[in-house]
Amino acid sequence: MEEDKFALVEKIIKDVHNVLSKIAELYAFDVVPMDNNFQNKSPVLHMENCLGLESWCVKHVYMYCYTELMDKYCMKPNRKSRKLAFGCERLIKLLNVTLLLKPENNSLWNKRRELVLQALLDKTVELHFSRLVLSRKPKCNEAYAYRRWVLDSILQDDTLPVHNIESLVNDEIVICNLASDKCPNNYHSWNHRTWLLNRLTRVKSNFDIDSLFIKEYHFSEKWTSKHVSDFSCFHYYQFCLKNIYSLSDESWKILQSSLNINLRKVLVKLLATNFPKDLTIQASEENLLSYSEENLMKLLLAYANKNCKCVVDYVQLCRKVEILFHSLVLNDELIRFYKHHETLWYHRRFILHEMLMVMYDHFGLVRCKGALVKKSCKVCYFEELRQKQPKIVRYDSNHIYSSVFFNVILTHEKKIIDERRTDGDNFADRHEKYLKFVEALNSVI
Amino acid sequence: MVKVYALAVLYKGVNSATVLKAAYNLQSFSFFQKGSVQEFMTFVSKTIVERTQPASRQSVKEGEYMLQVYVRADNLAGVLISDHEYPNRVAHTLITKVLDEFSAKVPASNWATANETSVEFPVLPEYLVKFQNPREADALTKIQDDLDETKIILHNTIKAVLDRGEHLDELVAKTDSLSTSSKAFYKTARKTNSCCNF
Repeated sequence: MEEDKFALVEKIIKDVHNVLSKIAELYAFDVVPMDNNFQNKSPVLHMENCLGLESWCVKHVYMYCYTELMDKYCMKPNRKSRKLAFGCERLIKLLNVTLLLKPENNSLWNKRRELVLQALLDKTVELHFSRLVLSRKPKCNEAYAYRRWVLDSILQDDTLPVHNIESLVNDEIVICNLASDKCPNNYHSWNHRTWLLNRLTRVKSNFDIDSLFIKEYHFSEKWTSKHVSDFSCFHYYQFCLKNIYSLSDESWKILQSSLNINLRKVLVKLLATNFPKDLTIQASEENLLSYSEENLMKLLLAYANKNCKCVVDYVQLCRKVEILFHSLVLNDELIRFYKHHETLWYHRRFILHEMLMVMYDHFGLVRCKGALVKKSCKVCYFEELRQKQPKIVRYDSNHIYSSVFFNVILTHEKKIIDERRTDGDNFADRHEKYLKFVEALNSVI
Repeated sequence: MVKVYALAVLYKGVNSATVLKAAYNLQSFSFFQKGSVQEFMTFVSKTIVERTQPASRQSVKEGEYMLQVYVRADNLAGVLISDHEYPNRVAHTLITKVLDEFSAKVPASNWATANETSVEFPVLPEYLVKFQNPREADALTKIQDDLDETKIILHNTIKAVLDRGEHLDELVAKTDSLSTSSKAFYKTARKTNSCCNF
């Protein structure tokens, strides 16, 4: 009986191995629920480029492979790996089956790493293999970590042609898309994506990272508007927002032309509807549209208490403000349409925090232990850095809070809080509390 | 996630409901699960329609899934299976619209005897695609004000909809409309409590 079972398991291992020899074509693996072996057929299924294993045999196969792996390949650290090449094919077969069934085992992934370092496993095949694992378990962090390790070693080659990098990036993005779609709140897939973008900024060949940033920005904006309670994807969206703050002039033009709205118009419209009434700003929407970046920013953030001689890049500043306001307007719409979604309100906190940071930064201030203090510029005031930073005087904080920029934001927030509150959205109250006590605007609201 | 998995038009007969037309979006399920998931969605749709009074609306939440059902007074029924983030009001507006169009295309005299193959209603898959984005779909229908949200009966689990003494597990075990592989799939999904609707 036992003998029979072993023979069967050996056959299954062989069948899986045969299917995996065409790994480049395979795109998914799954365990198919099947109570018993009814038909006396091989439990290894291979259909339409998918590999399947019937569930009744999983236990036997896994136990058999895992025991052999642990006994023969993992437990003897003294007789070191020199002899490994001898049983290497067997080892790979066992690793394949075991990791497909249970990928949450770092020791086994490390075994694969060793094999890759000895050039016994091919890196491209490894990418295919971990992809299969992720098709079944889209939240498997071990598999993502392994992919990162393989990708990192591939990208270290500075002579890698740009089109190769591009196809690698495309593959990763497709995998992340599938994984994020299958499992909502898939922190691991979004984290992997963030890693990919960060890693690519360090690639030395002339890979066009800006155009990828723009693509990912569009993608994340669209994705977040359909996944309204998935904060993992919102976090990635925030990462993408930050990436496009400092695009080059050329890339900025590309971004603008690829948007189907005009960022400046969005900003100006929101400004015009929220201008403080008592002030003497007579500018209408049309007027504001004709303003240059510098004039517009000076109108919003008139007073600059900069205690250094650094030149303000108004164009850059204006772009940042435009993006943030655009994101705020999108958030307004989502909050109105999808009611009672905490994630949307959390994203709003992010936007407002970023806006306030823009403002403090412009006025040369920084929030430190709850109080606003003067920020000493690292470029101009190098020697002053050691001194204790003075507390801000009352006059200054009043000046900030009377700036047009701040008043526009505040008016807009008050409107939306009131509107959502009357609609019965409890998160509106929480949002107000956040602004009062976390952003410390208690004295001005 | 805002997603529609299935959209179906059914007829509620005296003893049982029949599917007149259905469209599915099963991209997020693995190749080997798709068949079972689809069978299961059909089974649940029928079960729910059979347990819904004519001229009433229900929204049933089960795990991360949401099942919206509307049975009209003339026994024509619509079911929309989505995830729980899809706004209920929009879902019911869409069902109403689909049913209106269906009754305009297919004469009422055929409903009782028709089945999926004999009914001509090719626009259903198109709607399924359009409805993936509720904000666009909502603008599309433009009858949003007609629907009184308070009239939708909300249930937090499928148990609440079943008759007293009934259990989904038993219904699944008894039915002929699910294949053995789908039943096995249901059992495993129950155990691991994931990847399966209801």
